[in-house]
Amino acid sequence: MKAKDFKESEAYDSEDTEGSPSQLYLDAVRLRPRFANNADALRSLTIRLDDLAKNAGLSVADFLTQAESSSDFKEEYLDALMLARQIHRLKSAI
Amino acid sequence: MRHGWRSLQKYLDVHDRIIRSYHRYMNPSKVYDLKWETSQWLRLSCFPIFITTYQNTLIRVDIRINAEVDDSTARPRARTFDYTFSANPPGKGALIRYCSPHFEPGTLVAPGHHAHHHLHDFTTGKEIITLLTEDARPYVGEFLSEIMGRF
Repeated sequence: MKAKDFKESEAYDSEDTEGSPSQLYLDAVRLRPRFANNADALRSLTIRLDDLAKNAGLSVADFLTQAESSSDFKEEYLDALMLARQIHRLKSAI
Repeated sequence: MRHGWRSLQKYLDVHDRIIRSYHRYMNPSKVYDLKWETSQWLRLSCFPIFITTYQNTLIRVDIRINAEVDDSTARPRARTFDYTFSANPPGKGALIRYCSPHFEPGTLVAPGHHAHHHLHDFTTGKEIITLLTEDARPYVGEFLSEIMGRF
C-alpha cells in the first residue's frame, strides 16, 4: 500500500467532526508564542536574516538573490527565504 | 477554496497524519516541529527528512510552513500563508523546490515569478521555473507523493 492513500484534499473536504486530537494539535494548545507582538517578532527575525547574510559575506539583497536561484538547497538559503517572507508579512501587518 | 481556512485542529491533525503516513519511507521518522511566533502565526517545520522513494532513491526533503491563525472566535481557524517545500540529493545539490510568492527585500515589489506560487525544477541540469495558480499549489502530501513517484 502506498502512502498516498491518504489525501489532504479529501480529509479537508470531509464533513467529519474532529476525532481524537493529534499530538501536533495538543502541542499547539500547550505551547505559548515566542513573541508578544508583531513588532518584537519583526525585530528578531530581521536580525536573524541580517546575520545569515553577514555570515555569507553578502548584503541581505544579494544573499536572498543567491538563495533564490542557487542550484544547491542549503539550509541557510531555505531559512533566509522563509525569513524574508515572514519579515514582509510582519511589515505589512504593523 | 482548496487552501482556505480550516479549524486549527483539523489543519494540524491532517498535517500530522500526512507526515506519519510516510514514516515507513523515512529514516529516521520525523514529525513537525511547531512554534507559535505570535498568537496569530504558527510555524511548522519538518526537516531534514531522509526518504527512500518507490524507486529506492534516497532524497532529502525539507518542509517549512507559516500558518496564519484566526483566534478571534471560540474555534480558532488556520491556513497556510507561506511555504517552501524542497527536495535534493542528500548532502548537496537541488531537485525541486515549491515556493509561495515572495518580495524583494524591503519593498513591496515581487518581480517576475516571485509574485506567484512557483516551482523551481533543477532536474534537467538547468533551472526551469513554473508558475502555479493558488489552486495548483501542492499540499504537503501531494509534494511528498510527487517525490516518491518521480525520483
